[in-house]
Amino acid sequence: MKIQIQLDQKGTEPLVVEMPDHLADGQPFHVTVDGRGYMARWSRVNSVLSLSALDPSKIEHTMIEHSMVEHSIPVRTMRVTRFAGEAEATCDIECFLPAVSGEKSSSSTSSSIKAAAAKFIPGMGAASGSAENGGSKNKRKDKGLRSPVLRSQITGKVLSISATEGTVVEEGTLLLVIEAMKMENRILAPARVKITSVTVKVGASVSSGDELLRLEASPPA
Amino acid sequence: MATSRFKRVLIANRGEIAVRVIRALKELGIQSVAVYSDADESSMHVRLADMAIRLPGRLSTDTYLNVPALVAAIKTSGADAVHPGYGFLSENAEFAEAVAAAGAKFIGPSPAAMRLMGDKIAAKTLMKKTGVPVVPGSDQPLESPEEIKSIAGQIGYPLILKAAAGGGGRGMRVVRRDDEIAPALTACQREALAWFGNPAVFCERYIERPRHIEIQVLFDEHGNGVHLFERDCSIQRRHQKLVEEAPSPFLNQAQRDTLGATAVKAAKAAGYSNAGTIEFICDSPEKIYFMEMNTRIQVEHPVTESITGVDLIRQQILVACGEKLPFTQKDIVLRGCAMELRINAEDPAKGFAPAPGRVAQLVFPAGPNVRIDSHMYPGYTIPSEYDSMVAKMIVTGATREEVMARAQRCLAELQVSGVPTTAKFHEALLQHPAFIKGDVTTKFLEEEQSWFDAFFERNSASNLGSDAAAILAAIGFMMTSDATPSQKEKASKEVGSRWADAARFAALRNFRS
Repeated sequence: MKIQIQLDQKGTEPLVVEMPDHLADGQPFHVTVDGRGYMARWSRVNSVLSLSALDPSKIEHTMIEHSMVEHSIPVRTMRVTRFAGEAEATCDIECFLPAVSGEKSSSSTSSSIKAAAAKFIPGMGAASGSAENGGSKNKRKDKGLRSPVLRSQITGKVLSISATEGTVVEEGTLLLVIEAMKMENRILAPARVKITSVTVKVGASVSSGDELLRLEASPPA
Repeated sequence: MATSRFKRVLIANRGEIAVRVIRALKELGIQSVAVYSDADESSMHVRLADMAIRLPGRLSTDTYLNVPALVAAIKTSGADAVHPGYGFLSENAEFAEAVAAAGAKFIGPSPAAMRLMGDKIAAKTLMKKTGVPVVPGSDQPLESPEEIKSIAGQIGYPLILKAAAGGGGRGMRVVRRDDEIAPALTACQREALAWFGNPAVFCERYIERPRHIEIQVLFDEHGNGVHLFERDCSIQRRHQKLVEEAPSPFLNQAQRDTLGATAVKAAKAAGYSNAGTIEFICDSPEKIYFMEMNTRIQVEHPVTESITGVDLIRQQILVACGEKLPFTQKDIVLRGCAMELRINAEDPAKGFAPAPGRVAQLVFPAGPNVRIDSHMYPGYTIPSEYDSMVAKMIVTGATREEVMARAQRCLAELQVSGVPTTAKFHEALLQHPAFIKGDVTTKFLEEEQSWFDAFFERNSASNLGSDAAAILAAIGFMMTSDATPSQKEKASKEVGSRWADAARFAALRNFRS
């Protein structure tokens, strides 16, 4: 199974990961990333990936041998968001990547992985950036909108709505406020956009992934 | 003495503090009664308590802030005492009186002392009289933006608006200009009502770069009282504490003793009994002002327990039974250093956005001098109705340096899969040069925002690990393809209802007995 991964990092090209069709818990499997070969084991119950890089001359290898060093990559949290009817999933992962030789103990600081994942379809363009996110600080290359739907990132209650149907607002304009866990969360315009419709009402309860507004990109005049 | 102890205590709270109180009750051989909202039916405190009573509804105002419903629960359960925990009704004198009227003892100070110290305005007036220095501000609750404007005219900007019945950092707003007053007042009043059930707001001068130091006190009902040293709670975000430690690296032993003695004097002046905390705001070790007294147990009480060996919740219960304190000031010895890291279901890389959700997997750190207070379990769904704090990690050691290394090690062992947490933030904090030196103010996070942003950026998957990152993302993708969301949801709901059934069964069983 080929999966295309776009890491949310400046200047990175999408990577094609070739995985087995099924993952057996804790069992070794062979995987390639853009042709680089690895032996891996994924323990779902323990949330840990063991990884050994294969010599380029034997990327077809399918055994974990006594002579290989397996690097343990414990995962603290893994959240995968995939909305119904959408091919692309957003992955948020915190894990402890192996130390570079010469560095201090690897376990001191976690690494965050933010990625968009989709089934690889030959000839299709890159899976582009992460899912839409009004609050994200990470500036994507493409500031436009991929999806016309602004979804709630949190579960909570709509406290107020400032967005008006048919208006054009600048990036960072307050669209609505959602109260969750006793905090007011201000949802801002992700770019200069036109509000095409307002889906929710004041006082409504929303879950993570629910549609809040529909937007369309509105390039500066 | 033991014959006069409580038989059955109702905990008018939820989450980790309800669990903490139940644990103390079990160790004392006292029965515990949990109350739970419809959002909390599968919560840990329901499982641990001897019996449980449902509070219909999901919102705090319908449940944990609903005095008539709680009074009914006291009567139904036959509880002879109530522990209020922190937040909710813990500092509400009317509730304490309602508990007494229902024939149960409120585990806390007298309603009169609560009313005096809980009313931030009256407390300041008393402290002024007692000779404790206070921050300049309003002497009355404020209702209109014009009143605030006139105070600003007298003492100048910036000002801070606070819920008069508040505490715990909730319901506060800083105001720097005339045009900020009206929206800040509205928001503050709404939060005050949502969190404390009372919209009254007052204001005082806002000290720009203070340290927050508080003294734990404990008094019995016979006039004996001690302080248990200070806690430094300067690491805050929007007035919400994230890390607390003791002792404060800011004070020397002489300053510590002086501040402790001042706190005991202040509590005595208020006719205080049970556990309480006097909060001070410091410009410098010489310029320390009384800020407020919290007339309840605090979130960060385990820090003090760790450095003194005193079980504060146990003592709260025994003191409320009428027992005398089993120690005097000279018995309270400061040993080593402790730090509490609050694990909140929030995403520190997205401005600490709250992130309720299902905790698919959960592993807590362990090992020497590590304590976890939490109500989470694997499969637990964090509700969106309540506070985002889901665990407290308390580490102890001989020196601050040892504690920081231990905290770092523990964070790497922590696994909370399914929701982002402040663990990521704590990792960064423990590497910040100013925090390592202990040189921070409550402004620290705001001022160092760009340092933290850069840290998070730097620690997103490095190029070296990008293949590993891609493999993990691919695994994540395959795991969601395995089960459709609707199937997953169903599975978690089934688990939830079994818990609820068990809770209801437990409640029924106790009705009959």
